[in-house]
Amino acid sequence: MRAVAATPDRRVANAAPWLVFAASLGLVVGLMVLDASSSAAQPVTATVVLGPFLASMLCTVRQTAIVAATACAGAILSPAWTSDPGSTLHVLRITVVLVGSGLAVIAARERARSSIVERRLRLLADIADLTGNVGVQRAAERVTDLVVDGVADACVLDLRRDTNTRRVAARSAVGDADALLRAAHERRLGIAVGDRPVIRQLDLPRRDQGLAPLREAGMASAVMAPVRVRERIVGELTLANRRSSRGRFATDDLPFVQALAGRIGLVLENAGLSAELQEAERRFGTALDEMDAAVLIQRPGEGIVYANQAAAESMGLANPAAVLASTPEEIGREWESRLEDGSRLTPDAYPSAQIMSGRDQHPPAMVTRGVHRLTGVERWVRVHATPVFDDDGALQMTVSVTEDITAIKRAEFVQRILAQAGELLQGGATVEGTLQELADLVVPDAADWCAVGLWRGDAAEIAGISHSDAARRDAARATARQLLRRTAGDDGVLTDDPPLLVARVTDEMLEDYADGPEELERLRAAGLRSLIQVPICPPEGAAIGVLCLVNAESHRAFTSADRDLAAELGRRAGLALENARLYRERTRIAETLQASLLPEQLPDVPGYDLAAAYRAAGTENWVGGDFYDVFETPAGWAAFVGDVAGQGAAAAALTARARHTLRTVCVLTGDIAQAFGVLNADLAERDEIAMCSVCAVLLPSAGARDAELRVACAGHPRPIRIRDGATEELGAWGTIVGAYADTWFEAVSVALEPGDVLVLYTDGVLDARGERDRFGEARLHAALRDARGATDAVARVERALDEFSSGSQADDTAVLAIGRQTRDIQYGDPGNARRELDAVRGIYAAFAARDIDAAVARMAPDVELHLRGTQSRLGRGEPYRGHDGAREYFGDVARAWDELVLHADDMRAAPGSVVVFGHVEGRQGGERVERAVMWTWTLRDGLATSVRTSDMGPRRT
Amino acid sequence: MDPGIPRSARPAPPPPAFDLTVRDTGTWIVVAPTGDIDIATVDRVRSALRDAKGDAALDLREVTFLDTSGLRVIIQEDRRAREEGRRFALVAGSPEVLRVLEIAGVADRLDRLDPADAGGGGHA
Repeated sequence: MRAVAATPDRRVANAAPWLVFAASLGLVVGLMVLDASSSAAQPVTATVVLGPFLASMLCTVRQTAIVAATACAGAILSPAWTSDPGSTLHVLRITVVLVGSGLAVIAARERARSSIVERRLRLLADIADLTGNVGVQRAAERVTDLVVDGVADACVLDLRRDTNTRRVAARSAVGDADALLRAAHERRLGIAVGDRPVIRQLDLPRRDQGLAPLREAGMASAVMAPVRVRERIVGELTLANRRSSRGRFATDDLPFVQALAGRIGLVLENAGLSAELQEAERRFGTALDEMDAAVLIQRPGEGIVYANQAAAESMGLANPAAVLASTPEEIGREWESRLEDGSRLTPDAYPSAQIMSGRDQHPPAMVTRGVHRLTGVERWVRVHATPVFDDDGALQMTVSVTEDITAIKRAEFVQRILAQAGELLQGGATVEGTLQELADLVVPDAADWCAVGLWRGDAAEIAGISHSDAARRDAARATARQLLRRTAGDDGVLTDDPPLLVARVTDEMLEDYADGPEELERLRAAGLRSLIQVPICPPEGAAIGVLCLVNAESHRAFTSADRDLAAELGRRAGLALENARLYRERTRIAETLQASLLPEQLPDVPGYDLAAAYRAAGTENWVGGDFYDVFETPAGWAAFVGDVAGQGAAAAALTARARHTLRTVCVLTGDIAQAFGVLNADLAERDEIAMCSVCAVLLPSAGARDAELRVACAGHPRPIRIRDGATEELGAWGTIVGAYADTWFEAVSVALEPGDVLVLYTDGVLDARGERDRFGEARLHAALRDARGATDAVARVERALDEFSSGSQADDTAVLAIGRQTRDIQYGDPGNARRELDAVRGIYAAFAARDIDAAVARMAPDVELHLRGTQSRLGRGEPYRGHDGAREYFGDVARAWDELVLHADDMRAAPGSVVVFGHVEGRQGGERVERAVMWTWTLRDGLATSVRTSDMGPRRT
Repeated sequence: MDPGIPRSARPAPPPPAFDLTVRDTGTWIVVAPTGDIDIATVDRVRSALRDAKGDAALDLREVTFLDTSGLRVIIQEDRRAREEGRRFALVAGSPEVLRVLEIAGVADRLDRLDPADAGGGGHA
């Protein structure tokens, strides 16, 4: 708190009345001496009267009254020493002195009164001058100073009733101002003041406790008035006087005090308002100055009137003053800015410009990407502008807030690129094809152009190239070839460069790099500005390629963040390429391995038709444990179908071993059961259990009249024989190979007659999973029913599995079908007769499959079919003629028979003709027909021209 | 094998979820899987049987399917038990599962445990 000290000149002024008083006293004493010694009393008396008048001119009323009283006392007491006591002259003198003194006092009072009014008016005027941005506290202090100087001995302005201002000022001309101030602060000073001023005489018995500090300060009278600001009482004004100086306050002082309080209120209001405004401005300014976002305020016609520090920095300027000194065009020139859609930013695209031009009062925020022309720094900003209108609706200013969203954009962008790259690179085996897409992904957001190279020795094969300007793509490719080189180290090993970032490509660098002036020129022409090279590298191992990002036309400078992004892309690409390589390698190994488990193609086994199908389990299993094999042994042809428990490489190895063992033993001994035994001993010896289920058949040679073949099963489904369309499981179950060392295997004989088909299959067929259950034996039998020949049988199983299966299968499946051919013995020229045999055999097969087109294709257009069996059932005398006739025959068969099966058991061929011995089985309702038949075919150019049937009577078996 | 309702009369079950419980009857450690034993689930059966230190039994009553990988585990455990002088037995299950053992030619070689001695709920 500020102490109010008395100043020296004021002390002099206060002492003056006492000097005057002393001088008048001396004068009166001198007068008395003169009166006593001289008779010329009149002048002396006149002089005595002068004292009070002098005092009235110079001193206060009080002082004048003292001087006048002294003069009067002298006059009254003068008979004591005057030479003519009681004389008329004497009485006259006394009267003159008394009247003169009274007049002097009246004069003094009048003078004092006029001076008080004058001072009060001046005070009010001075207080009214207290305007300007001084603040409430300072204004209060100056008010108390002025009051004490002018109209009171002490003044306290206590504004603590206003909770907003909470200020106190106290001032005293005579007493201890600090004590008053303290008292006011401590709320020891003051009494309840209502709407109007009140006067308190401090030396009267009615003592208000709140006025004690004033009393202690020597004050005798006080007046207190409420201070109002905007009709609200904010505090109180206290004036106090000592009795000895300004005297008591009287009721007629109250209007002035009220006026004074009113004027003070006005001053405080001004001071407060302007100070508050200033404070608000200061706070706002501070907030704007310290904002991270750049704030620009533009006024129509004035341009930029405010910029904060962030705005200056974002423009590459040192401080806001530099912004105000620049024109918007100058500022814009520093940046090469583009809108989000890539178009160049024009000045009228700014939201503030849109507002100023009246195009749009609430334009959407604008996002731009700028590249600083000098530094190459890339910056994303979001600019939002708000108009400010005055009361008349006229545009006062626009406030543009520019946020730097580079970090956000960057994060978004990195995330997007990495996510897209991740998707791209999941391309499995074809990932190389996606390297071009990877390059496309990076351009133009991350770089002006991008090259993906795969190392081929010390040069890179450009696997992907992308340029923001498609027309310059080929040029970029040529530049990339120059840039992407590896150098052989001292040890002759090609070195892999670590991630390389060149923020600014200098000409010196090009000179160092270029191999000869010609290349230098080409590199210079490429306009390289900034460069990143990162290795494309699998997680472990050497770099297999290089990813190169180049900025040229955009003038952008790459940052370490760009390099990190590129490095991550390089890592991901490396991983993907490595995975693809491993995938291919695995596929190749798997294919090789699988091929080693199956015969390349089924051999031609005389007298038999063979067909096989193999399908691997789900793609992730690679190599299954199923195998089949067909080969010749001393005892005839052997066929195996087997399944090694397990999958993958271990199973494949075991499968290869099983297949080899079985084949070797069979080839040496011609005994399939013995082959099982040898394999069993081999597998059972192993610590880790290895089992193989296998089914083998040993086929009788083609020419053998007997139809016996040997079948052995070890832990394997028994083969199914299809005879005349009916299915039947044959053979006996045996213990799985490899399970127990003490196992014996034996083969049993089954009959396989011409036309029969034997189907061997692995349990993968039975276990194939459908939507609700597994394929099972019943479905397999149903599929095989009515199968005609080996190829048909396998096709039916495959079709049924296709229809049934659902999802990825856990086990692989193998099916091998062996069809015993009907006998065909050739006479004459086998070379020529083969064609006839094939044609006739094809016709029987086509008939079995009811494939009319296939049958007609093997007949000459003028074919004649004399088929008496069917003809006679329909009462038809005429043979079937031509292709249409053949079709008619197929239709008649369907009408005449519920079922008709032709068995071509034995064929004998000569050029131009084939004789078929066989039988037919027909069914019509409950009637069954089974007769031996001989067909006689004539052919021309491999096409049948006629057939005649000869009934050979009921079939004898 | 199935004293209750004939299998064909049961409502068509949804693809059974595999589960496995291990019971100790005092004499036998009974490993009782529920659902299909195939390449996807066989490892759990194998490790449960490996953990059984004494006489072990595999309860096939709630097993709906058994493939060669399961067969391999059964034979492996049978062999291992013989070598270690322990007992290993099967609690017979459905005809389908039994048929797998018959096809493999091992049905007669494996010891059987009467369901009454195997504890557990078995079937209704």
